[in-house]
Amino acid sequence: MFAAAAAPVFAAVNIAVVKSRDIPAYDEALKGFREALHQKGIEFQEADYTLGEGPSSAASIIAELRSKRPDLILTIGSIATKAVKDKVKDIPVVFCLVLDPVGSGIVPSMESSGSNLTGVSLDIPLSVQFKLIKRVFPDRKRIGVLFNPSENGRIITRAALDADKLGLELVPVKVTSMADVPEAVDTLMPKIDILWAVADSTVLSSQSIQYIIISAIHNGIPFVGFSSAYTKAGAVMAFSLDYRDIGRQAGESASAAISGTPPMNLPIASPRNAGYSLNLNSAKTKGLVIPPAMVKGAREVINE
Amino acid sequence: MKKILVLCLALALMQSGRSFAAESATMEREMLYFEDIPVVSAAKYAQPVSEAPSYVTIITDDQIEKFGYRTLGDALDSVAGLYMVNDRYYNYAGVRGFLRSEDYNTRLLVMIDGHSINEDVYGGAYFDEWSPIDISLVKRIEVVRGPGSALYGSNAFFAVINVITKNADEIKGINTSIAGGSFNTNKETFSYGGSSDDGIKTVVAGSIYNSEGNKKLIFDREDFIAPPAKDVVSENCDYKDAYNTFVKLEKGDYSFSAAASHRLKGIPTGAYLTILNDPESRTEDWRRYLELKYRTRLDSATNLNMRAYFDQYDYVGDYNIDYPPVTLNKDIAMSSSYGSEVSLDLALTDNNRLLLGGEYQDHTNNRLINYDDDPNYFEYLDDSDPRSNSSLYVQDEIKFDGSALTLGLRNDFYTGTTAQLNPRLAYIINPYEAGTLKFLYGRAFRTPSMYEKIYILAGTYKGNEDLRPEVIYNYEMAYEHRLDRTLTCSISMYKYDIHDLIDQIMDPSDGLLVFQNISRVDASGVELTARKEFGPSFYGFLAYANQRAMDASNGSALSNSPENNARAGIVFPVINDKTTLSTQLKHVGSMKTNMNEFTYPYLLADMSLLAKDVFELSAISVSIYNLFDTKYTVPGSPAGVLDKIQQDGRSFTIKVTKEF
Repeated sequence: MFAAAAAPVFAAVNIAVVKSRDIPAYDEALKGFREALHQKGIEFQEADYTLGEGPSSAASIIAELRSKRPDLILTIGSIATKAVKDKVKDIPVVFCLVLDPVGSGIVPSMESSGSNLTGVSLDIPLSVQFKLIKRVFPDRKRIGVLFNPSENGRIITRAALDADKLGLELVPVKVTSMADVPEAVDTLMPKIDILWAVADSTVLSSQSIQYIIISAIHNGIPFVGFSSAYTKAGAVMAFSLDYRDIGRQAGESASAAISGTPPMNLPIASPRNAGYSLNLNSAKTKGLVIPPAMVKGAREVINE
Repeated sequence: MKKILVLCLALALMQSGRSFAAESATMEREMLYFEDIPVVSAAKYAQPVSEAPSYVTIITDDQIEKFGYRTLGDALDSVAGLYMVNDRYYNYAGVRGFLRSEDYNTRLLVMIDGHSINEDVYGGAYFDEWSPIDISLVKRIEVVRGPGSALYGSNAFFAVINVITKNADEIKGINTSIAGGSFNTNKETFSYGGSSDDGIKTVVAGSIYNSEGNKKLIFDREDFIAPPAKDVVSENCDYKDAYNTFVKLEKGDYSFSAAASHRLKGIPTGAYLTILNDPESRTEDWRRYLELKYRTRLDSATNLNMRAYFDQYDYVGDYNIDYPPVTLNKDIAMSSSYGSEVSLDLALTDNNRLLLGGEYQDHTNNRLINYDDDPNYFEYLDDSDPRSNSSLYVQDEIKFDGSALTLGLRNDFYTGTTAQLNPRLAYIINPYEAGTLKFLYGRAFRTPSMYEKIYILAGTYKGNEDLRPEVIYNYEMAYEHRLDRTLTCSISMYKYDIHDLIDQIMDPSDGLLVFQNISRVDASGVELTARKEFGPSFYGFLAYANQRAMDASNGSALSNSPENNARAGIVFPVINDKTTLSTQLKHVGSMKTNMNEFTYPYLLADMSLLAKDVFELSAISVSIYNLFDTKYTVPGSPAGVLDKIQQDGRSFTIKVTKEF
């Protein structure tokens, strides 16, 4: 006689959610996380925490986590992830919406954390970004980027290699303070065909963003941002992420961890649903014609 | 011990502080993904076509290259409502059914990077091989139909055509080309674009053109104003040599541009009383200008634009006239002028943009000379027309939810003429996301040119210093619909009235030709365009115009005015995106001539094959014009001997380009 195989049935699991901050993007990711668990048939109870200002807030949350010992911790954002990672070593931790988890020291490599961590980063792989840039602007080769070496040195080094593989030339310009940005922009403009932005707090202040976008318009250089806010603000193109789907990805990793797979065996994932938005008005003012196939493939098109 | 403890505590605090600071920096970077960014209004520097308070057509460098346009005239001939007429002397652009022979395009304002290239003698702008820049240097052409005097003053009567040149980064190195083709034509072009380490962007460009033209023209006797006994042959008279040079330097807020061009043309048609079939009769034109611009952002809401410029135009005509005896008549024109303009571009709010400006021009050295030189010297004309003009203008654009209102006003003060106040109004509505509806009204004027006022030629022409400016009132409704992201359709319906039109008539008292404010023109029409993009090198367009332009005094149709003209073009890839084939069809309806005859309607087909990155060359193109060798004529000038002028049959050009 053979025993019939039964679908796994999970008892309700306790999941703690720790957010770096209270913002809509994190809430979207959390919704996606919940959807993924529901889809996997996982019943769970959820306790939500949001970090306040200063280190003491994290300490009290950690203390409570240690006391309540959830089955899994979801962290959203770098600060929450770092706070939990340093103090909780014996509970699976799944993170999401974390920028450059390797560069920020959260994991040693994307292949494995070597510990109780796994998750989904916030970064669209550089090769994906450059491939999309190349398809949207097929005749443009020189990609300029402003960066602070202390924030993005490692990324820019990798980006130069990835760009070169695609026949593109990365033209990086270093800035070490916000005051350097206007001159750096003016120096960079004549040497490039596209201005590409990386998340750099030295380069991208609320005032400098305006200056950069205006300079790009003035010089006829398309500006490529890393969130759809940039196309709304006037950039020709910006990458856009589906935060809800990133949350779903994190939920799928959590489901595997809950099923018994050690987090160190689950590679860190990049967002699988990266897209881009276009501002055709900005493109038109520069006399740019975006290939229609790329216009059709855009997640969002601004045309008024 | 205490000191050690304090030191350890300090180090620990520093370390935790550094950690906290490092985490804050990380958070800050991460938060950049989620922050809203204030919208930068692109209207501060440029406007999307849908927002422009006019009916606008853009011709891109991609279209210029793929359709094989050889000159600005070829490119403009693809626009709905425009049609080019070549009297084998100059190219004239008819706009919305209006074209006057020998008006030298004075009712169009033509600019290169915002600098007017209309010269000071005839008010003319020229679209053939000697325009100040070569077609290969053109980034795009903006054709703004309708009166533009509210911003630009005189000459912006029917349309404003702004030619935008490529910048140094778009040329990127050295670009050379050699072209040859029918009529023993050859053309060499050169352009360089580069940037220095200290940020100076440089463009240097030039072209040289030589053509023997149609070496043997046979003019049908029926095409003459006074038909001769038999057909007339004109040999070796249609030649043309031209060159142009252009320099543009840009650094920061400053830019400097300079251009010089020259043309030598034979006169094959017996114009200006010249002996038909005399290759010694010729004309030369020179055009030069310098311009220095300064554009800066005073703050986040204010832009300051300043420019100063100097222009020169010279003309020499050698006319062999058989009075009798055969006499060399010299026709000379010279002009130089300088001017300056200042404007402030203010974003009063996110939805209100105000433009204020003023301009001053001094035309100091304008002079017309005409005399018989050989065998007997006799001077007919040596006169000048010094004048100055100044203007003030204002334009306010106000955006509402789903609509925008533009109000413009310019007052021009000319020496010896009453001031001209020109308003402009545009109301733009977006009734739904994909649609734009524009209601447009404008008044424009054109001051009489020096040529119209004072020219005298050998008992044929006389001057009229009492000429008044002519005025046009234009009413227009335009609608654009974007069916999807790749298909755009537009329609424009317009009506215009021209008062005090300056036209050339024969004074019955002395039989001399003279310009007078005698006419009033009423016209109305509709223009339809559609453009579809199938892929990066696969697109097509359709353009159709129906227009009726009449002399309001008697209801008769104007000469040089086809009731219908249509264009269609398609570009598609062959093998891959780097090789394209284009076809363009041009239909022009019948046109009344000055002798009240009619030309036949005609349909022309052009084809161009462009291959990029082949045989170690950057591009090779083969273009065939008038593919089916259609025989057609256009109306001649009342001052010439031909009522209809035969145009060229099939011709070809092969062009090879190499970039370094």
